[in-house]
Amino acid sequence: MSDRGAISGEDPRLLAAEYALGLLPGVEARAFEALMASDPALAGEALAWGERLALMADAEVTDVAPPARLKRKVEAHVFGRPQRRGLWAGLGALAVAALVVLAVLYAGILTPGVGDPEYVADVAAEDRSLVASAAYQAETGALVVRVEAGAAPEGRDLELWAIVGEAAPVSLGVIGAEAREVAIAPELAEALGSGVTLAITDEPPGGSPSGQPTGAIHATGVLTAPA
Amino acid sequence: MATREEVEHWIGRCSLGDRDAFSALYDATSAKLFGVILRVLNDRAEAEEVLQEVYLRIWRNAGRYSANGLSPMSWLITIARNRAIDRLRARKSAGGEMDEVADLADAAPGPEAQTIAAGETARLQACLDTLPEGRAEAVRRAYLEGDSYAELAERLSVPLNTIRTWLRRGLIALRECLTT
Repeated sequence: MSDRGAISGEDPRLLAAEYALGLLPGVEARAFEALMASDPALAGEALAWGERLALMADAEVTDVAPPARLKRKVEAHVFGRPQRRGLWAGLGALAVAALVVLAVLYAGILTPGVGDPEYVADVAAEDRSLVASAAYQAETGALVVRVEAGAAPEGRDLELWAIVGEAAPVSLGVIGAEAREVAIAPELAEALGSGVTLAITDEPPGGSPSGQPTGAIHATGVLTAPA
Repeated sequence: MATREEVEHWIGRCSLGDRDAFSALYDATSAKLFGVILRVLNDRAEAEEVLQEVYLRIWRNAGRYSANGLSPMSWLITIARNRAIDRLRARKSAGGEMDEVADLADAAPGPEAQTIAAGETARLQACLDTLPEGRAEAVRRAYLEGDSYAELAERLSVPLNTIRTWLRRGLIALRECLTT
């Protein structure tokens, strides 16, 4: 029998260790990934090995501070062209300021006869190169959203996200210049009173494949009751 | 030293595009990740390039972190180690055929996916110390230097046709030590 035996008949838990160590030859690694996809316990075993090995590295490898100049390079690499920083951090104050002018602004995008919106948001970039409006009505349970100014970068779509507190963003779908009604989950509707943050990112056509934002944030705003 | 909660928080904020959180995450973790990459590659110029790739990946994949079973520091180390091993293998094969590195940092979550408790590190060290001669070194070499079975056989003077069985006995012992 060959020492590099076929994947069948072997203890898959050992394969999990070998996989995490990077010792499985390519073909066997792919076969093991297929096994993991249908066997959550096995995937958990591989993850547990991955965790142990990373802990080993954490404990045994000496920290080496990278040269200070590298941080700027990393940020340029990660963020692309130099841009202003702290957009997200400053959004609270910004959104509040933007909301003062909102009450008047929103009647325009509403379907006639549906009544006044109960919550509205101006989802905008700092320089207003991208502006979207959002209005929520309890009567229909829907959020009406529309891009008022600006557009997605070439080959990308704009995706709207709702963020409640520290929770992960929830996708409200791809948005464009056409007004769109987005049905709001009851949990989200309940959170409206305490201020739901909306954000727009650029994503691959059709929206983020992972269900979480992957592109840059272009605009933000908070849904609030009109004064 | 940042706490687990802080690192977790920064990764979460990165998924929202928070650049200040990215900056804080970089400040708190780059020395560890650079150390890991440098250990694998043993070349500063290459390690600097890989560090950039690693933080780009962290920034882009931050939204997927919370679904994973890895602890935050392990997730970051796994990404750094994997990218460094990728680079090492590309160097070794110089464009030839190479095995892709296992991408546990991108693994889908499963019900069994678990975070190993704090305090496990000490236990792991103790268990590694109980392994028969050469096995702990083989584990470290495979994980941190990207050695294949063939390279382990050569370095540790174990016949190539028995190296896999040889290491697997060590892995079984390690697993037993860790789970009992």
